[in-house]
Amino acid sequence: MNTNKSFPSPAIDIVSVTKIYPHRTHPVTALNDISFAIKDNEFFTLLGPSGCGKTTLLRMIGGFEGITKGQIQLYGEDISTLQPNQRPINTVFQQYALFPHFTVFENVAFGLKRLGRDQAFIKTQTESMLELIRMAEFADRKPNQLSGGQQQRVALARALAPQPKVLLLDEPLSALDLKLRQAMREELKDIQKKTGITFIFVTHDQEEALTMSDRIAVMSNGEVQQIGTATDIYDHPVNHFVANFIGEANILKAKVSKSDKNSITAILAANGGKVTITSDVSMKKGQNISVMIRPERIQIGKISRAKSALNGVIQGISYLGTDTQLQVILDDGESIIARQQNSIDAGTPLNKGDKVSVTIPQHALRVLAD
Amino acid sequence: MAGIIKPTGKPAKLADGTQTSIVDGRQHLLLLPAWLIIGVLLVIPVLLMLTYSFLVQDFRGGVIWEFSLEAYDQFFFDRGLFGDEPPSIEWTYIGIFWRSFVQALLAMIFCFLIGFPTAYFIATRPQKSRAFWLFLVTIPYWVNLLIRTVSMKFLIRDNGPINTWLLSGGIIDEPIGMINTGFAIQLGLFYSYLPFMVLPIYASIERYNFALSEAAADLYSSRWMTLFKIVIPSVRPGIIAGCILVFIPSLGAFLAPDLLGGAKNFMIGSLVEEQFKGQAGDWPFGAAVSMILLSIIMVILLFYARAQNRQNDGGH
Repeated sequence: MNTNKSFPSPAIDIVSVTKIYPHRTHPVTALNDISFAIKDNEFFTLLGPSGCGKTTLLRMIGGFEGITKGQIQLYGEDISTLQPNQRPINTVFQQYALFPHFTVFENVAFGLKRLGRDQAFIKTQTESMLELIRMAEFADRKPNQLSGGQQQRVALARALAPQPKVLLLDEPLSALDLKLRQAMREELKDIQKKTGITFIFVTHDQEEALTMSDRIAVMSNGEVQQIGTATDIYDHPVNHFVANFIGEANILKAKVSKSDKNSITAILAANGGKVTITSDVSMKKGQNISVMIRPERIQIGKISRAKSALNGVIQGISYLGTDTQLQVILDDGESIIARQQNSIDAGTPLNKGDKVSVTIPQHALRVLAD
Repeated sequence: MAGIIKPTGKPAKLADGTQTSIVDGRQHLLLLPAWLIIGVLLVIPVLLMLTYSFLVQDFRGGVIWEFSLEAYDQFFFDRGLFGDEPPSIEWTYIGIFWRSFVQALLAMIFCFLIGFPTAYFIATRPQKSRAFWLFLVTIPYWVNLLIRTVSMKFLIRDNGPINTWLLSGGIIDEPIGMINTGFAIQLGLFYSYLPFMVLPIYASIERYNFALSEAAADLYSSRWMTLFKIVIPSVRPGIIAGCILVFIPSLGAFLAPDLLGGAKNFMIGSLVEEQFKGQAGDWPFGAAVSMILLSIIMVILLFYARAQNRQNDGGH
């Protein structure tokens, strides 16, 4: 497959790809000059809201959409002009698209048959795929006799059976209920490890992306906002969009007072407090910046007389089971969301209207680009 | 309602039962118009035909109310000119039936070969323009069938525009004899019944999930393989409906065979028509021919339904 082991080419290389849907008056740019590489044997997720271009990109990798500009490479080979049936890439479709008139076995064997594999191989390979998804006893059923979760697994087996180099998954879990979805996450991750096939997974569900992926590309408006591991993206979001889309974020205004090599010092607009934040981006003194902090990193305590304290009033309390979410309106009118774990020694419960002090650990603050 | 009453136990069962029976009674009342239509338009006419086929012909037209198997005898057996010879099989009418079946089958096949791609084309146009294409398909049907068939006759006759054009272009030296041939009948049937093939297939393809075609292509299927293995099996109900809707009226058609086929190419429709036309008609014989045709079609449909059931059961 790839003889040059010292410089293995990425599984998929997306080279300045642009997609424009032509229209007489309003051409739509679905993807705007994006480039990145997906490594061999990686569980890679394209995450973003609907309309961000993630599905378009997946369909372009699968060969279902043409490329307006740029190139898509598979292990260093340009596949941009190949038809879907010429690409060693298979897809798990959003609504499964199982062939209704075929049995489970025939569905899974379909790709192998079209590839002209010999009968004996088709039989053993199909059976081992059904074994892998624990559906062997359903081989003779028709798709409409299966539950949603079972159909989902058959769709997965059907796409894996021809042993593709890359597997594309187009929001495959969105039609399942919560419990099943959580179980399938584990299973997908497991199957990816077992088969060693590169998975490209499309979802708008950030939790799904965070729990399964080796790396995530966060997309919006046809552009890639950030690529990184789950921790990178949650803990070090590069901009407002990523901070808000992945989890919840409090964004505070601040002004730079000093910029060093590895950190910047800024004055928070809310209370004039001075904070020092690690950041390798150099800023000009006096520049207005946004700093972000996750709700669970914020501590809420008794009202403080200290000059730098952020004081406010509890505006709303939502009980979420494992934790409680508090909305605090600061004295300057800014609103902050905090989360507290409902541990056994949580102390006296807070009530709406209570005056509180908000403590922000400096090391949990992040500088955001606009 | 029933669910709310149920937990109270025994009396609930009673209440439950009464309620159901009221609903049932009303349901029958609501079904009355449907039963009336089926009775008036289907059962009574067919029974009338069945009765007539067992009566004796009145030579002044109409029937004499007297039981007789003569009409059926006339169809199947030849007893000589004066009816006194030992019976031998009468091939004339069986021949007409055979020819009609072949013609109807060919019309069905041609309608499918042209109708399927047409329907596929229309169903894959953008939503907005589909209505326009369907309208185009149905435009000729705003004109009476008789007039359309006669115009077809003018088009294909020896000194019609097609032959004239071919002659003047020097492509042929003699006019092609198209009128009064099996070809002319085919053309007429095809032209008459094409929309009956296009419309049901279109309805099926429109409901077809094109993600299945993408899935097939994704799994290394060529376009033709996708068409034969996925698309056609998925839209089969529409294809079968179209085939039945073309085959059955083609079998009984009389306008196209009469006007385009000439006397040599007699078909069942013309045979039946003849028996009921004018004073010389033989009503019992016409009714008997119709009943025989009806029986054959029923047998074909029954076999089809059984095959269909067996296939559906196979999956369970």
